Amino acid sequence: MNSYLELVKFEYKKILRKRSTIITLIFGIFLTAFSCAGPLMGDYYINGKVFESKYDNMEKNREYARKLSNREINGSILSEAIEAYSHIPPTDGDYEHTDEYQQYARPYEEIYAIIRRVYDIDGRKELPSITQEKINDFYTVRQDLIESKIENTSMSSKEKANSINISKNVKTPFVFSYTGGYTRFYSLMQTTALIICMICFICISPIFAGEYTDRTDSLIFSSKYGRNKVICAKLFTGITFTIVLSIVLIITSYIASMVLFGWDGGKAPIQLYWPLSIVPFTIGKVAFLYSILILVANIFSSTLTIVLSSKLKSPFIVFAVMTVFTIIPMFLSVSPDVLWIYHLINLIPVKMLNISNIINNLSINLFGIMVQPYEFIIVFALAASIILLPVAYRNFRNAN
Amino acid sequence: MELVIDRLTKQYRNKIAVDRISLKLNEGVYGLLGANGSGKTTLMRMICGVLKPTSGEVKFNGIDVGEEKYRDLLGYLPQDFGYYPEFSAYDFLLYMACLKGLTKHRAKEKANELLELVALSDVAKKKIKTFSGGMKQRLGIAQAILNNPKILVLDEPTSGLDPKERIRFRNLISQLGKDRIVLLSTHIVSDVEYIASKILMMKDGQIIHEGPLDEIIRTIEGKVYECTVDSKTAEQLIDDYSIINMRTEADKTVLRLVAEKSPCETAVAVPAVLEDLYLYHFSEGVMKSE
Repeated sequence: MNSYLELVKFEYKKILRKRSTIITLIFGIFLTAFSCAGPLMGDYYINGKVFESKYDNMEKNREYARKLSNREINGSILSEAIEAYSHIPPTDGDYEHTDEYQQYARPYEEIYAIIRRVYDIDGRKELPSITQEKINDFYTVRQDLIESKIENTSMSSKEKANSINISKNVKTPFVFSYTGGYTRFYSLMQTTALIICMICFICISPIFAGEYTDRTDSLIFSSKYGRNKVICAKLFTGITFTIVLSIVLIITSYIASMVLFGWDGGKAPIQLYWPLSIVPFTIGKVAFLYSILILVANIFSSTLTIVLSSKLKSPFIVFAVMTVFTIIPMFLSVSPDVLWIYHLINLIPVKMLNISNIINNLSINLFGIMVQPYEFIIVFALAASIILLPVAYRNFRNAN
Repeated sequence: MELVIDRLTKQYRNKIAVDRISLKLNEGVYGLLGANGSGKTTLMRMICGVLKPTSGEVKFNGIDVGEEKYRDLLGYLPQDFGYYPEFSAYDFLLYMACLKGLTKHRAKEKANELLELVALSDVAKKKIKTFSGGMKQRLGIAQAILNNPKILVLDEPTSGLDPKERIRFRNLISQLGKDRIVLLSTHIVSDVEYIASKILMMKDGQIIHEGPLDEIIRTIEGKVYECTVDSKTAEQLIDDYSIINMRTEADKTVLRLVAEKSPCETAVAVPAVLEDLYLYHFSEGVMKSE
């Protein structure tokens, strides 16, 4: 055990003593923090003049949202929002530039976003078409829309029934809360996940292949532990490096988002941000699940990198193949009409990183067991990693 | 203590690099001589378990080359091998010691001892990327003997070393050969001549000579001649015989060659040395093509 841990220590030394690793890590942490602060930099302009800085804008919106916090989403608050939006005069340009918007409507911006989704309207001009009866019946309208959307998917009847059942478990009424920190965290996480992916490609590609380019393979293969313990140490190092890096960057993103945008909203229902989501989760729980999903997707992605590294004899080729394999599917958009293709595509690591895998309205009937897409992805990624790691072990052990 | 190599063969697509070699090696220093491409490195890599043979087997005291027990008894200095450039010499030895199964305490002790032995103590904490070729080679030799191996395989151990260092290492290798099997390959015939108790000469993947120095030299004893001739005669002799050496003195050419009987009137039979045998086998056609 001692020698095994010593070997792991040396594998970490190999990774961390490279200048490229240090530069990549510093750049990654800087980019993560910068991505979070990026939307707060610069100003908003109205008619060519600075209206307010983006930071002031965020602060003002936060203040408005906090004023509405702890209020139930019901006919009363919805009516207030509709009434506030009715003050906006007809305009050809951007209605957000009008004084009426700034004075009356802006404080209800987030309530308006919920109304738009639940009542399925295109814009504020359609607000008057919503009857008072429907306004008072917010949760029924929402549930009906969810069920009709579920019925329109190509899921089997069992899957549809499961999704509808899950949606019925969502606690109502919703209590409004400011959630800017968490929503920033959500939108930042995909970038963070890609940064983690790329850093792992750079640092893990040489884990086996680097021994050939460093011409140290003969020394390793002829040593006592060269065809067993050191391979386990390399696998352990590759995976733990990914886990540690993922946790560090996820925490960096979380703290940066919370510090800049605010810590509130963790206990609020996810439906405040995605009103039509069927999952009965809080905003905080979705953030946690999303972090797990990203961690697992990165473990899977790193496992693929390790397998390639054990087979190919050049870290550069491993890096290139993994980069192409990650970037190309980003531009791949598959409709959920053919569900098995849609689910299959979502098993590509970069596609796993999409938060819609947690909040969408799909269920999967997996040999009689009903699972949600994110559960399927997590189980698949872990199982595939567990299956693939011994392949990497065998590849390097049998290398000539 | 016996290293048995039984019908060891390595075949690449169109080439047999090692062709059914069978050997039994016991304690002592074995010098493996052969030209580039003769199969020396392939043979050594198979003996070290780095390369899988197409057929045949390697066993030490009944332990197969694929077993961990075998690798535990092995020390290997590969030809043209690499290092982790960001590691210090000391760290590198600690890592190699760990790979070889030494305890942490023993690894530190051994690393210090061997750095002293190869005269790298002063630069033990410096990064290997700052080392000269000779320093790297010395570090390579140090790592090969970290685990006090019973089988020590050294592929071109003296390449990159200056003459003083080479002599130091010849002495070191001689000492090491007392209680273990040392197999070393080199192009430098004098290295083998000085330290090897037995010589293995390889050509086209096969062992063409095997035995103690005097025994294998005997195969060309009485066939080595030196003659001083004019350039025209020299050209004729180059066409007809295996030329070992040629030099020009004034308007005459002095040739050292191998022939079954005296090649010309001025030829004088001289005592054969290992280099004659080596060049006899490996410079074949060189003079003719030149």
